[in-house]
Amino acid sequence: MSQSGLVTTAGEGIPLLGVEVVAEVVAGHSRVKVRQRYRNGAAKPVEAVYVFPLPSAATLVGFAMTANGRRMEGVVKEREEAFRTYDDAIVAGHGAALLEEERKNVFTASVGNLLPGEETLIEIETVERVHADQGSIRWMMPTLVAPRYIPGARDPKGDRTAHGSADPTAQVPDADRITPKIASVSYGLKLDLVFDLGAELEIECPSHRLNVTRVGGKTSVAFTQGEVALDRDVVVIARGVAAGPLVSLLADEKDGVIALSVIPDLTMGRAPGRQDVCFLVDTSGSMDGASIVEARAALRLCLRHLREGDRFNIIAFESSFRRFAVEPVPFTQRTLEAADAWVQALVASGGTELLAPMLDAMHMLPDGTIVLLTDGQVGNEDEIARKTLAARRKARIYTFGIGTNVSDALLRELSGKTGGALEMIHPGERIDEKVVAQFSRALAPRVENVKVSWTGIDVGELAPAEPPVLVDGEPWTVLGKVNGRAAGTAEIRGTLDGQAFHLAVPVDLRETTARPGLVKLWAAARIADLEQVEVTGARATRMKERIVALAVAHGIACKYASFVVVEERTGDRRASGQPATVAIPVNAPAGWAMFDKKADVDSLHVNKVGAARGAMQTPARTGMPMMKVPAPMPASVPAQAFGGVPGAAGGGGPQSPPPAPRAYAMYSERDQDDAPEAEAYAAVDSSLASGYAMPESKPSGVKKKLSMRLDMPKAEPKKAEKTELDPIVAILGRQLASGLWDEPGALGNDTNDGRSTRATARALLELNDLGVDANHALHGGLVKKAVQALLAIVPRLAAAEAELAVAVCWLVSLGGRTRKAAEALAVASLKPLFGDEQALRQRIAALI
Amino acid sequence: VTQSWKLEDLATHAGVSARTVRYYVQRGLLPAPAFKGRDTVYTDDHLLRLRAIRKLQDKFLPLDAIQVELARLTPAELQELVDGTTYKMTSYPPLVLGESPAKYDTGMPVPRVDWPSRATRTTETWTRIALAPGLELHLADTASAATRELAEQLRQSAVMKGNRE
Repeated sequence: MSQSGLVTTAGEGIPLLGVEVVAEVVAGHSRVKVRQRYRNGAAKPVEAVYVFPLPSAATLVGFAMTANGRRMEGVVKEREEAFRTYDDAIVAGHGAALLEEERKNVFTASVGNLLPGEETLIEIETVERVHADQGSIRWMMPTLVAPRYIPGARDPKGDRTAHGSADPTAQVPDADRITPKIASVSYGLKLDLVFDLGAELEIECPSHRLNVTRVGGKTSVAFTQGEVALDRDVVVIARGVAAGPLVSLLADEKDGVIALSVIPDLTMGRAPGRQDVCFLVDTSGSMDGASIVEARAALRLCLRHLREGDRFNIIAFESSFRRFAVEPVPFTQRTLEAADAWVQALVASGGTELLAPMLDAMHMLPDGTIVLLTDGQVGNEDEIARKTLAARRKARIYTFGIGTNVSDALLRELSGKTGGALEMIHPGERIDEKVVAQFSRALAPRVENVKVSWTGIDVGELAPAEPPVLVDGEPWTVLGKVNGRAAGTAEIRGTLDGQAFHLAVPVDLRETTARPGLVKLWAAARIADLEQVEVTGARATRMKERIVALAVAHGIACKYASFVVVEERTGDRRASGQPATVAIPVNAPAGWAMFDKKADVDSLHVNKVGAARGAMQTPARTGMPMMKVPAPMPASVPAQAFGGVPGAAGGGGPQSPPPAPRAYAMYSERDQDDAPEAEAYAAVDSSLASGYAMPESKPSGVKKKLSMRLDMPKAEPKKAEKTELDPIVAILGRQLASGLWDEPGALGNDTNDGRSTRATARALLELNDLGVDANHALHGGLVKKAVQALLAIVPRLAAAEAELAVAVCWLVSLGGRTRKAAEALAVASLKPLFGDEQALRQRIAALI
Repeated sequence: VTQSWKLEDLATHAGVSARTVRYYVQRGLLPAPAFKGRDTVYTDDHLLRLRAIRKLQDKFLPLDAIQVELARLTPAELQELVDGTTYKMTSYPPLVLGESPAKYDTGMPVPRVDWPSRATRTTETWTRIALAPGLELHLADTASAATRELAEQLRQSAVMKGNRE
């Protein structure tokens, strides 16, 4: 037997020297070059295999290898053909590199016959569409393929094809291709990012420290340290981007492709009525650490955007899942407080069984709104997407990708295909903006069943073939093949509030912005369409052939087509014998609690190899109790559970102790007594501790309905989480479900209109002092909600309180309609003060 | 006369994918193919070893253990294993939970084995796995991958038995 085989991944002898990302963001798109520098420090030829990430929305348009001072461009071939080309070249002693797509955001680079002492540069080029949202662009680059949850038992029939730490399972047959091993690695990341957007940009970066330089209209960004570890996503936010035109037309004249973008104004549409919302929050082991804290905060903010009359439920999932309530419950002060306490008690550990809770949510609200908060680290993305979309009627999925390392592919697919949207939250980023953006999208008027037709111009083969829904204020784009350069009209038709919608956009192909390479984005969108079509047998084969033909013709990689490049070698440079294969290890992801404690990396690996389930569990957590203890009923938890912020009115009350960790009570209307003990439904995870769980025939984590009485556990205040809230968020965090505020300590059914009027007035004035009124971009909605609630109770109030309520409402609502409503309710003595803000404020001060 | 195979044909005959063949070569389970003229050439020996790997997988051996077996067995013994005639597997000592992997040491070089290191653990947690009414299996979280494999096989056969009943 020849002496070949795997070199260990012990840090020594890793032939990857470093990664450099060179990127340029111009209006409309981002072009990125990822350069991987390899050098073989061993005495014999080496083949390197590197599993690395790219943003899932990026299209791979180029691949090149530079060796021995010569740059060679890769070509796209059908995947197995590309593999054979590569393999033959390696065995024959030539140089070669192969780039394969494992997932939309996971790729494998194989670089072969790296000669001793020689340096080889691999360059991967991608293009991605970028839209400014409210004047800001968020640029993101993932840096490592993080450990992800691989569901299912090891498949004894599943033959390995790669060196990953997980074995193939029936649910994830290629688990070994997407699970690079974790080690402390020496190679680092450099960044050279340029925003060519003309404007004077403000650069923010929640993930790294940056040096920003401005030359001409360009803003350049690099890491302050020069080189950083590849252990977290790089997130750069550019603010102050000039608003683009509402309608734009880009053209790739050589290839006859246009892109039509529209930012629709649909304000004539009615906002939808009552909402049914189900929140799905990931509490798996990979969320432990910074991510679960962010997720809890985001969830609490989301809850506050519900309106009375909406119904909601929450599902927390890891290896099993639990509902907050049996059925969706109406949004009231009582359920809000219960939900706050329930959310506060969430801790993260275990696997990521997303499919079952997702189907549960779909079953609960097939036409509702589903809000998913997760890091997306699962291996069975296809299965989840397919089954979720099959179970869906009209439900829309809004996703929050939370954490330092988010796998965005599944989140993008779920939200994109249901008319929802994706927001990514890196620790340190403002959550409130993103929550508000998602909820305003969810509530925005929208045009469905969109069809596009063209008059006067010859446009065809649209991509996406089924145009996406039009959402008020959200960029909407279709690409198409075009013949000739005439002028005409694009007619966009659909239904808005059940009524016919029609928008005619003049399209003059003689006046377009040139954008060479657009054809690649078009081809990528066509491929994404075709990949989505579910066919079997001979039709599947033909569909695959069509996809490969598109990919090869346009030089883009996809699931079925890979880039390959071969350097024919002769003489001394030609190697003989099988090179030693080195699987490049990756860093442990930053901020993941499971890696915090002296990173017992090997044991994670062993767990993943050996354990059939619970692959993400760390050894320290395998000793978890076999049954979860039900919590005390949350009704006894004061409202300040949200962030534990001292009362605004100088209350400064003690932080309410959250229920004991790992305690999940199910909300139930019957359990609203103030008794210190209560009857509760506990979700019991009957699966065994370390992952040898239930037989496959049963869904994981079967829940038993338990009815038990238990003593209130001694409140053991958890170490206060350092979520420093800004004062605005603190005030809004105390707003009641009704939209009003109340004195700290005043609870639930003890309502007093006069008291809550004064508390609301104070809160609104404080917000006003902080610059938040009804027109505030982020929080205006909550102010409006308060004003409407206040005006609604005016008829019940005593004279002085009514006057106070009306005066405050008038002051903080700048819109004409609300002010008119306030004026109509105003007593005669107040009316002269409208228009004289100072006098009005004095009057308010006297009344409060 | 030994037949020579192209990768795809070899893979088809052995009932694996070409990529798996390549993975086994990278991992050292199979010798590297020879390169003759313009073609990569695999031999009957590769086919024999691929079939032997499948046989040993059917006996629930993990790849590390298979590698040891492949290195230990003579071509004649490999053929017997594939034919299912007289082959006897190495008699492993009975598995003891949490046992050091040294017991499996057959004296053959094992290029890569990811045994957990006990030294890095301070506590040990035992998992109880109910196999059948009145029958439990206890598994330490420090157990090796091979031991976990065995535990999983026991659990699965118990489940299958349970399903039949």
